[in-house]
Amino acid sequence: MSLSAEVRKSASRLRTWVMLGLVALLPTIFAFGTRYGDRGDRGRPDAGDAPFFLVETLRNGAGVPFVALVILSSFLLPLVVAVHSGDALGGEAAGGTLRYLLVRPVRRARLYGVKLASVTLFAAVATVVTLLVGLLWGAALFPTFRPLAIGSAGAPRLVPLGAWAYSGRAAVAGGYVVVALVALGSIGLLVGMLTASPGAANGVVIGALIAMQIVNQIDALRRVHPLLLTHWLMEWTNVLQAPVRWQPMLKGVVCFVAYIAGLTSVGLWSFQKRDVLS
Amino acid sequence: MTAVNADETPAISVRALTKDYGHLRAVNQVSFDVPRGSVFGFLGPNGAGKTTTIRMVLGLVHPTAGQIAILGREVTAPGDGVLAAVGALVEEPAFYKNLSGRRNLLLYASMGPEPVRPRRERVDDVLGKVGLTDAASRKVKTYSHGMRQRLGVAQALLNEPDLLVLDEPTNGLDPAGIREMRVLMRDLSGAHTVFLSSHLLHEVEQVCDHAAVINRGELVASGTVGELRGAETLRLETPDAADAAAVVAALGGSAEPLPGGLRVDLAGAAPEDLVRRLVDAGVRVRAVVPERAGLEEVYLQLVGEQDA
Repeated sequence: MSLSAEVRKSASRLRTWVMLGLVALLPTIFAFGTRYGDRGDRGRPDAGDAPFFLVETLRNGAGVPFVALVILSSFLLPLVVAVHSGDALGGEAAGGTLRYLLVRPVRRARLYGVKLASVTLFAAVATVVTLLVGLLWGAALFPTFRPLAIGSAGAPRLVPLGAWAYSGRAAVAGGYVVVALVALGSIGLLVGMLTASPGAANGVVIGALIAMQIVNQIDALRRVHPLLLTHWLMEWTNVLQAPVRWQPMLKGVVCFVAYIAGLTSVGLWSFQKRDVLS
Repeated sequence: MTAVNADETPAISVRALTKDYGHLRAVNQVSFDVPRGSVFGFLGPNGAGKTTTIRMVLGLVHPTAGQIAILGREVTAPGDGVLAAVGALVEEPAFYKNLSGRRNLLLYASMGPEPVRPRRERVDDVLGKVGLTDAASRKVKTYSHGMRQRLGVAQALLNEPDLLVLDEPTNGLDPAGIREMRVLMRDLSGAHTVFLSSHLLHEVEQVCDHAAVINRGELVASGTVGELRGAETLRLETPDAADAAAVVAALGGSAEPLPGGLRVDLAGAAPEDLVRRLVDAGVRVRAVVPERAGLEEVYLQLVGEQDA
């Protein structure tokens, strides 16, 4: 059992391409909408509380990849990762192919590991698609595509990013989002294995996502907020501060890695103990 | 891969195999050996514990107690490497239905500890063996039940196994499908040890040389199909039943009356000797027919009619 066989299998499924198509579609809609939509506010955007780069993006194509990531990382990327991870073991069990993989034999720990790698790869591809499609339309549609100028909220001095700094920050942001998505995907992988039902697994992931978002809004539960994935989900936007605010991102990564390690340990242990009756 | 020490170690050996699901004992102290090169039928009514036993042998279900050895190797953890020398069909075959038969086999062939090589040739070879060459490029979802079953057998043959474990290979097939599968089993039995489960006696009687019968989780009989059927008896048709019975008794056999003659158990004596003595004694013989209880009668006795 190798990751490449797993990738061939995913690539042969229409659903994989539909999900990546959706991921590509949203930044496209945003880019076209911003460029050709109602121009009443253009050049005079209502800054409000919006992060600075959102304001900048309305004028500068170089900001589009980051806006795309803001839009997608809060829901669509978690959603497609939920579907993929729920199906990873849940789909094999529901379809009966799990028992045939295990008797080939593929060791259970290895199968679990390959599936986790497949979830990671899918999350990475979806994130890269988001950024690249944003970059493509930002460069192709927007009248200006110049170094993205960033600054701390409230600080008037803006620093334009050089090409390396720009792509470096995009990579860090993407990497952060991928780790967050893998943490969510670990839930789908585990629940899919336990329930032998891909639908149940991705329902649990989406449910967990929504529940964590709600709890994260309740001030009285402030103490548990740092334990929630969603609390840290958008912290990657700190790469658009000058200088980068690493601390909240590091905390977020610690939280994600703890989820991945914890859920994967439980999954491996329980998969090993389990009677495969599907 | 050919079997070394063909006769020495059994292909499958289970000892006191037991499985509890919670309070339910699904398999209780089952022991049997599947000799190398045999076609072994594992018989029992639905729910008797056949599938649970097979899943334990294949490392899918953890035994509560007992030992399993496959091809001479003690198996203690799931996914043991020895399974690479085993081909299996566990209940229904399962495929990625949106892919063609060939693509499915190519995927299966690329998994496992040692990928099958050369992959394409091997896949085409097994597709030919099960008669699916022409349908190989069609998506599996367009296959008939019988074709899926045969593709399942092709999947089991991919790694040139020494041992084939087939759980209910004819389940749900129409008569033509059953016939095709039976022919396939016979073709395969030369090159592999075949362990097949079935609730259909006829199946086992026609293709197996060894069998074990399981009922309510317990093994109730095992041996060669001949042994299971029990001793051969003769149906002797004669108008002189009383004289004939005396001759049988003189030979050391026993007889019981039948309409128009006797049922004779010769207890080892040769039927031709009986016929000569009958003729010498002036007993008129209309017919002497060797008879054996069908496996079905034996099976029904063993498992009780209500369970079969």
